[in-house]
Amino acid sequence: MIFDVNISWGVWPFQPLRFASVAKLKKSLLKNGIYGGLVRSAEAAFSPDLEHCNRKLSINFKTDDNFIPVPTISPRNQEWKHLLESEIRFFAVYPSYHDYSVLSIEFAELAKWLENKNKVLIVVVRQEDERGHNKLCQIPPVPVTEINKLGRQFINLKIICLNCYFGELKTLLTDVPNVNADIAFAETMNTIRTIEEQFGHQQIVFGSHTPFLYSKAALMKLKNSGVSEGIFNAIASENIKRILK
Amino acid sequence: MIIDIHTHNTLSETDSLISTAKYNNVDKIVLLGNVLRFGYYPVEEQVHEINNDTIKTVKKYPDTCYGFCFLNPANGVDFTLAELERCVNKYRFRGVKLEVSVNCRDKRLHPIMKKLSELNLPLLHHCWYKTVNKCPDESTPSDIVYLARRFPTVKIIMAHLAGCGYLGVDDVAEYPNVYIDTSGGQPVASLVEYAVKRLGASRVVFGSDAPYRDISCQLGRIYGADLNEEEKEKIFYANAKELLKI
Repeated sequence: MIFDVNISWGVWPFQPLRFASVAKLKKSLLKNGIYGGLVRSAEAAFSPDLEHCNRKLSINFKTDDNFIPVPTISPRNQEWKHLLESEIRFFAVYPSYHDYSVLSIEFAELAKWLENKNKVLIVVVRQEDERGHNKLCQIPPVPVTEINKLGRQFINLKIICLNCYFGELKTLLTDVPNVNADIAFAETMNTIRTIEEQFGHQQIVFGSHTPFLYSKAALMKLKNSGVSEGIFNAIASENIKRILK
Repeated sequence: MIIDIHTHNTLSETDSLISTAKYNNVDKIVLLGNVLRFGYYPVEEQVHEINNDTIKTVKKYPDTCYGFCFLNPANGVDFTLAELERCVNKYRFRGVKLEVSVNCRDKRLHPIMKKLSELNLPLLHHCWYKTVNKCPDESTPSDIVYLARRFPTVKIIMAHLAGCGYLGVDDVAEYPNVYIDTSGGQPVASLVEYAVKRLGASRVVFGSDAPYRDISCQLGRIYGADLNEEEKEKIFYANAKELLKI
């Protein structure tokens, strides 16, 4: 049973995303053994109206389903104060796309609220490989040094970082047990075994970045890794359950 | 049967590369050499050493590995052609690998291309459309088009589908001597299907770029693509078999 923390829904200007309907997306994920996941709005990266993106997401994905809608918030949009009073547990941020630093004063206020209310912060480090960006729309990744520092400042704030490269994991995860990363972009030979050897598996969760990437790629990365059943289960679903406690 | 047309042998990791390939049911791999071992512009002795490493690995795993001769076209023509002939005639290498030493529009590629045409062997050329981190002489798909038009009898495998993107696929679509390997970059969804739609399944070949990439993840991009079994078989095996003449 695999829980996927990195699923998007919506349109993207630079890639025709697969799946014409929510039903088809869910069917494909379930067929691949992904029983649930965290779904965020792809459009929220560029949209000036996050409320609209979040509403659209919540219409398509219900909170009582295993595919949980994750609203996007920004310290530059005060809607987050209202959302944090709700039962919602996960909140996504696109710092680079929304042009702020996770170390800014404005973000510190948001982080403090999230920490106090035991919410989980999802940081989208990048959406695409920067080398392939359109020349007129180059969005740098969120510096993992800054996320590591954020994790040190708010030691009870649970953070999940999406789409980090393998080479960024050491900087990101060192000395911050509250910071976690998904496996969608992390790649080297025998990725999962190498991650286990170098960083352990406690801070690693399964993420596929569907529909930007083929779900099967992340699945095979985990399933063909040759790690023990315990490590497999931890990455597939147990770690995210622990984060939620 | 699966053939991986794009791997690199770094001697310290070669055993691990072979065992990982086998674990993932990849039967044959093409070794392109540890092409960046001496940086972007290896001199003749360094090119010779890189190919010697490939020869060692092919000798150690003759049932699994095929070699490609790595060259830097900026080196002397006499050396370059002698090195190519050494690798092909003595060690049965199946093609040539060019990286980023020289852009593929450069005339210094011509003697190599003429020799490949004569020997009826393919060229596998690094290729990418990059917005950032571009090497000074790195080739793009539009550069590959230039080469393909000039040497229509040479089969050119344009590396790195995800790096070339939709635009790169469109660039080479009209040139039947250009193939695309699926290696490199993230497993961007829908791109394999797009390449098959524009080029046909007979011009797309599986490559992983291991050990820099995870073979299982790279296989997932083909298994996960919305293609029929016949198309996948061509990508995994039949096209490479024809290119490598095995």
